[in-house]
Amino acid sequence: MADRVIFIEQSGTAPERAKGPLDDACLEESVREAMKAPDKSRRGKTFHVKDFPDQVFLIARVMEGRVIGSWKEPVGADPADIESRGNAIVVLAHQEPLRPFDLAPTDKNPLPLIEPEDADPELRCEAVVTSLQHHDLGHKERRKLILEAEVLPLRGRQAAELTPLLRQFIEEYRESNVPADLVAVGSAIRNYVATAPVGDAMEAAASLLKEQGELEIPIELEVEVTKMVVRKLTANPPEQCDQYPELASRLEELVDVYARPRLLPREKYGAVALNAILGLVLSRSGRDADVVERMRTLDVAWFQQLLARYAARLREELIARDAEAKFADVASVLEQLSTLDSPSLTP
Amino acid sequence: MTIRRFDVIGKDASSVPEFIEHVALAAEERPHHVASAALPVVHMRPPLERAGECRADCVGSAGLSVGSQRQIKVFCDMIESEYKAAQLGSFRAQYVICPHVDPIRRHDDTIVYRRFSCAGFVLEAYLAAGIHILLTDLARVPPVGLETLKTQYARFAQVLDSPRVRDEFGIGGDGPWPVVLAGYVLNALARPEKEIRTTPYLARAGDEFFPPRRPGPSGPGP
Repeated sequence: MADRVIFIEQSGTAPERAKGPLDDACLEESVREAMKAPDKSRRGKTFHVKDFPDQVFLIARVMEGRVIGSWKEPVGADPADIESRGNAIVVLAHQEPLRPFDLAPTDKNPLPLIEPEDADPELRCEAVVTSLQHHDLGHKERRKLILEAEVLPLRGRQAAELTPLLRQFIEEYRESNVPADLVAVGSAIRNYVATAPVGDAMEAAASLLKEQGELEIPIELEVEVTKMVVRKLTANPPEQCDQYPELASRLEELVDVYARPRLLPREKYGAVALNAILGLVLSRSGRDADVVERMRTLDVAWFQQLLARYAARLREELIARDAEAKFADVASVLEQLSTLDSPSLTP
Repeated sequence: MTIRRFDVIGKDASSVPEFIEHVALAAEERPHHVASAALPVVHMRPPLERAGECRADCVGSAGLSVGSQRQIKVFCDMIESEYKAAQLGSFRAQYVICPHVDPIRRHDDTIVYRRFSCAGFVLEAYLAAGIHILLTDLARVPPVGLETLKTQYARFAQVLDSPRVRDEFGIGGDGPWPVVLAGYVLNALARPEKEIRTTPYLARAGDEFFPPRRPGPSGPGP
């Protein structure tokens, strides 16, 4: 048993010297045992190899929660080399005992031995962005990093570097028929719209909602795009009226297609219709009078109630942000929609 | 017992009888369900599952109409992709203990996704249907200590000793914390339907059990 177990989470191209022999059958069990060993002084902390000079470490490289290689290494001689972030290697120690839910994965959801967020979030942000910039990154690894990027606190330079990578991923895989790809595209859409400047985000949303030839965006992605339009415009109401005409046209089309009595009960149709209506109002397109009238005569009480509730909540949020007076037109339409929830409409 | 779609299912803790460890939404109607048998649910396990399964030791109902059920379905449709992402990535990122729902925002305040506790998921689903089951202002929720939380979160019991993990789940420091426990939801639903729809329930100490056990001079009574 080694004195310490250090995991190197490989994120990108490893330097040659970090490539150790592949593990033998007992390695993973040894690592588990080592991790279970009590070591309160290290528990919950991230530490670097260089802090422990002249010790021999068992170093295990972990990818997607599995040990894929290990070697013993005296690190006193050249710790900086191992710690090199220039090669997108993150050196972290995980001295916590495994948690019960890590040790009891279900058949349906095998859980990783180590979750990436156990790492220092700042280091992970840097590592994830740097790794995504590598052109030779494998598809599965790229997809995994895209998903991870959503839950990391990226800001400033890292956020600016990430957004074009997210957009690229979205464009590349939006038509994929692999479910896991579409989940990652959904994640990238949320992250992109939330992180990019509002103008870029609305342009991307309009572009994603536009039919391109015979290709249609899958409905689960329409849910994500329209939902994020609502979230983005709630936080960033447009300064000018009809600032995003292309987006407004796309949202209007969605309302036209989905907000129909026989379609609304279907899987996800109601979600797209609801967000498209609210997005249209928040975009200050000036095209909402027709939509309000249409919703008033829709004759689908449950949807009218739902819309009324969400509109009322958004209006409250505008008021809470002290933006009601500045965006009086939006507040007024939201108020009209919120009255759709009148008792006369209740079945 | 009769279970309707999106009724609230309660599961007892294995260590403490009638302590509600988990709540979930019934995914389908069961006219003659046998107590303590498993049934399909939508729930925040974590991760969120739309095709999950849970033992139903007890059930709470607000007498949802078909319209309310559709409203809850839209709520689930809207967040499903966020949780599929967490299933492929890190399921811990979608879970929170306190508050019961926690929006994660970017620099400009845009929400990227929301974290839920199991009770928080149920409460927010019902809120989408216009039913405000429970008062969740932190000042109005009974404070609970670590031992109670370990019973509530048996799956996390060991790791809740770690201040870092507690912090991650929104319960930093040494507590007690105003955590919305699963049992509160069932006690809130054990009222007349009209009251459920008009008056949010104010949870009290002892509501972590269903039926509730009010603390007496010598501790929680039967």
